[in-house]
Amino acid sequence: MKVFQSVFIMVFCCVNLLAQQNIRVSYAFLHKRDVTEKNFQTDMDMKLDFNGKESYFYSEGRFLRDSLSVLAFDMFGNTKDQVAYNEAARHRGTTDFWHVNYSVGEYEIGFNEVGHVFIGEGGKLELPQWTLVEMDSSKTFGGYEVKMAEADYLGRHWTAWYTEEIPVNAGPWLLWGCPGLIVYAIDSESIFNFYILNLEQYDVPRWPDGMKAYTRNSEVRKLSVKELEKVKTRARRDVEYRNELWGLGGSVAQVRRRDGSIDPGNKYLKFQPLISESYWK
Amino acid sequence: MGRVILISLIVLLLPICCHSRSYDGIAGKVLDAKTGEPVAGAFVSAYKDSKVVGYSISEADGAFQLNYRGAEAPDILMVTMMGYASCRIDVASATEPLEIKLIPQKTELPAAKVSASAIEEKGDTTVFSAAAFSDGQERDIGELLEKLPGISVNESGGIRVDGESIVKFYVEGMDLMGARYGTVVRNLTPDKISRVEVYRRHQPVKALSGMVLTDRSAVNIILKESSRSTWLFSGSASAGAPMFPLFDARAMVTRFAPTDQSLFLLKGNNVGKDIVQELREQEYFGRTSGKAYLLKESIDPDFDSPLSPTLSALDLPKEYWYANTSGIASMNALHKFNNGMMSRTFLNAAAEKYTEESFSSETISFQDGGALTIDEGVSMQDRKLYFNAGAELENNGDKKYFSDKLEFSGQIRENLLYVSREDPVSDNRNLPVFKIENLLNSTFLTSHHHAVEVMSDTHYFKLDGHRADFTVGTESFSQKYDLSRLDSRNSLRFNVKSRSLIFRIALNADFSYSGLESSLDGLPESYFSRHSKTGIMHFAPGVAVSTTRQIGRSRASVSLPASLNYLHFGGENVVFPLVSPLISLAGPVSGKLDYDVMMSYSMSRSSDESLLGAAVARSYRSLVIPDSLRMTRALIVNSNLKFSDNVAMFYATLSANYGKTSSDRTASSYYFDRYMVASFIPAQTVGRNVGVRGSVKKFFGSRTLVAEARGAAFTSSYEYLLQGRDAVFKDLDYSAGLTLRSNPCDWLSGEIKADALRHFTYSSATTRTDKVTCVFSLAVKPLKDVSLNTDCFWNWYSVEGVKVSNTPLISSELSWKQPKFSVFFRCMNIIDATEMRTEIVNAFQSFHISRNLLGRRILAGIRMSM
Repeated sequence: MKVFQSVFIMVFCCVNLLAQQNIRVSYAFLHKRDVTEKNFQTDMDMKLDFNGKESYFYSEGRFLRDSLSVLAFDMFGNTKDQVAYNEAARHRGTTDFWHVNYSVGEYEIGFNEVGHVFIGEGGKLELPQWTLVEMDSSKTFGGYEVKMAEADYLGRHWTAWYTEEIPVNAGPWLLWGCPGLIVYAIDSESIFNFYILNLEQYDVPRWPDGMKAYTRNSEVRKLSVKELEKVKTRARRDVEYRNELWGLGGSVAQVRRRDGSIDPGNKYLKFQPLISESYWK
Repeated sequence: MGRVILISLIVLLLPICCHSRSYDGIAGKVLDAKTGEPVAGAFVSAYKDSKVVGYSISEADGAFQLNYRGAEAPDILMVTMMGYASCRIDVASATEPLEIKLIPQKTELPAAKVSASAIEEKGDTTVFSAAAFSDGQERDIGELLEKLPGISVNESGGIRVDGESIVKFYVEGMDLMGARYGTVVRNLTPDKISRVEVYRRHQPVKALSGMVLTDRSAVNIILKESSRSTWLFSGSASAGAPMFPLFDARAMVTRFAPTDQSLFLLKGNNVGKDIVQELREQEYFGRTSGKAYLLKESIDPDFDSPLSPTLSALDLPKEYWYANTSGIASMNALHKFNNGMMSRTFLNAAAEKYTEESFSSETISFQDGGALTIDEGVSMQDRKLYFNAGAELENNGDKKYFSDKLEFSGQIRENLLYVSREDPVSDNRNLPVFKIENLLNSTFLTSHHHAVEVMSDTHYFKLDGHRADFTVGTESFSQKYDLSRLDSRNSLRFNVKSRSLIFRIALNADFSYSGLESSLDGLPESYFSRHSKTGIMHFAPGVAVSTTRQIGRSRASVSLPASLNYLHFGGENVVFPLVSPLISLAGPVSGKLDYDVMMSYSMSRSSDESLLGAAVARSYRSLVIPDSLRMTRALIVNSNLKFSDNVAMFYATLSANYGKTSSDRTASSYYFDRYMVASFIPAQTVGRNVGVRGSVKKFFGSRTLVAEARGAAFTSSYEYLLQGRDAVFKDLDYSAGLTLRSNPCDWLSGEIKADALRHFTYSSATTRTDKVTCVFSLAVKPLKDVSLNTDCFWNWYSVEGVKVSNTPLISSELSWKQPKFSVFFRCMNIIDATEMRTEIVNAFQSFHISRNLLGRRILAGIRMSM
């Protein structure tokens, strides 16, 4: 009887383990500031945490930096742990994150500028109208057998390769809905490019508790997704606007050249948002 | 009234029924095919002509409603869910209500094989994808680890990261094997592992994390999902000729689960594999005292005595010369309790018979112009029986750490030597040893900034009845050597952390008692004492102060250990202090460039046993009178620069070192008719060395081409007394090497490694030695499942006009590989080279040694992994 109980418990546990869909996928995120640029900016440690109902796409380096910062600083912003501070400084990455709740069909987007966290809420999740191409092809990417799908989504034309070996409908950023994990995706202008680096299961979820580190000692501003995208795009392009967000609006620093003239500097930077600006029009 | 209500209901419900009939959607339920239970969270997508027209996610009761609003009715439904096989349904042939049954299927999470993802960095953790570096030819994970940048693996499975021994070896985050992890490294097959994680600056004690900083690394092996929490078997069996029975067999069963890990290994061979080495303790976490890890033939350095024989190792792969028959057995189990406590038990045993055949001609030149030539044919047989058993308890909590390891080990060793010459020599030795050891380690984090450590390493060992009987011609003499030693090293450490400063003070109390007896019988000469029996008590209280401070991105450390040593023996007392200060600075110059500089000064005395006061016959023609606590002082300066670019996969190292060693006694040898006596006389010796070495390594893809170039220049000088006169020796070495490894396609992989060395010795005469060594291996897959591997070793050298080019040593293996097993046919030493010549020439001695090799052998067998 005991043997039977043990076997039952083991089988039950195994079924539960299998039912847990907690996977963490590492992606490389390559992006250009403008379609005319030749070189990509790279974020080599983006993570997708997917638990079957929700997904978070974020930078591992940024997550570690935020987590270590909790150890490094006390509530007044003073350094309390020098080692953690030094460690935190080693980690870099984009502050952007994307959270999708598949159960209610919504998504939110966030980014951080010094001291301010902006969160765009209530985005209605659309299903990319994927067209499955080469359904019977046997191409591989990253060791996985992949199939191709194409869709117009959030203002861009995306081509994605997904693998049915990993039967989840998630993917990097807000890409989703293929009959398998998206392992590679690129937009038609070759501005954005995601590809899988690694895959693992995880036990302890980082989110939403990770958000506490992210928003600690920061002013949280909640907007609609559309408003947030506007703010983010402007902040990334307009230096003065970003300084204003940082609270540096009142001071102006100028660089004077040797000939006495003033260097106007780059007031405007190149930036392309993932959700095309044409989508909001 | 009832009729009115009925009609009203019909009227009310009619539109709803009509609406449900015109609903543009599909409803259904997703169920587990085995249990019939509903499956929640399944993703159901609908396609029309391969285009998505709608989707739904199943509810808690498995129900879903898929709405394709106005689009054309779908022809295909796809249902995906982790833990189940994907399901594809042809809508036309399905009947409503849809009941979709998903078949449970364990979802493999194979690591991606993208070249750019071969290496991933997360702070101090570097993650290597196993698949990215493997060319499929590796037999154990040790061979795979050697292909990763910055990692080297020695023959016994010991791992070094950036030149430093690792402090911990984990499989799935747990330390099953302790310091004997070589057993896993040399026996776990790489097809089971997903990735390798290297934790730099790893502090194994959680309570000391961030409090006590380390410079050493740890390695964690992450298994593939399918290999976790399940019993794994790997084994091989092969037999061959011409020696009968030529065999090589191995069976290993392992299980690596989150709370339980086990490893059972049985292994034996007589084809030249030195498998006993796998049971050696590697340099590891928890040791309070440094052990001599340089003695290659010892399983445990504590087992050595002055009578331990020296085996003459050759600088070529052991399968060509190591004539042994050996077997090992290892049983290890680890269990993690709910309260975080972990228990580890282990039982190891080994047996080995080793034989050695060689011929040597030695010429000793005297400064008066005379010379002595000794021609000898040596035949040696060495038998060992070793066992080791123990248990360890460990609790590695966030605030408390406790571990205690109790271990018993012993060895019975017999060594028979026969030397054929004018007056033949026989030398029979018996060397039994028993040892019991307890290692206690405890840490308490008393507050966020304070921690206390208690460490105690106590061991008792008895070299009981070590005896060597020598017969030279018709005369015989014998040497007995008994030692029983109780050694206890204890330390109480206080750690304080204040912002960027870490301060540690350690109070040490070391105690030992050695009972020593030596007796040399049968020699007529009486120029020296031959019998001694003494008890030596040694007490050494000490204090060690160290501090570490973060200066910008660099870390500066200063350490000052000091002890006062009291020795009591034979009614005499000796007192001497020892100090060994150390200062170091390390840190990143940039994100990719790291540096470290270390300077240390140390004082040490030779072991208490050196107070023996009588001559010990170490061989039939070599007697040593111990050095009576020789004092050695050493100044060492090391600096390293390391460049690592994991994106470009380019690595470079540059290191320089300076060392000065002085000693208050020096060995002086006197030659008698039949033997030589080395005694230590009170004369100062000074040795200096300066060296520079560097290497660059570039991966073009993780496997496509790996190129490494290395070079070194090293000079040393040594001033000492020889035959009562001052002598100065100076050595100068230049070396350069190149390794190219390539796996450009699935059917071809190869490696070529070439090293050249030019060595000068300056004394009363100058000698020059040039040496070139080449190792070449090639693996070809003419068919998908068939591979042909060929290894070749060749060396050439020249010494004082004598040029020696040894016959190339070639082995080849043909194997047919299936998913669970492979069948192989191996021919070792195809050319049948039978001897390896070595010439050694220095100022006063020259050796010509011809060593017998194992000839051509053929082996056929099977390897399995499941």
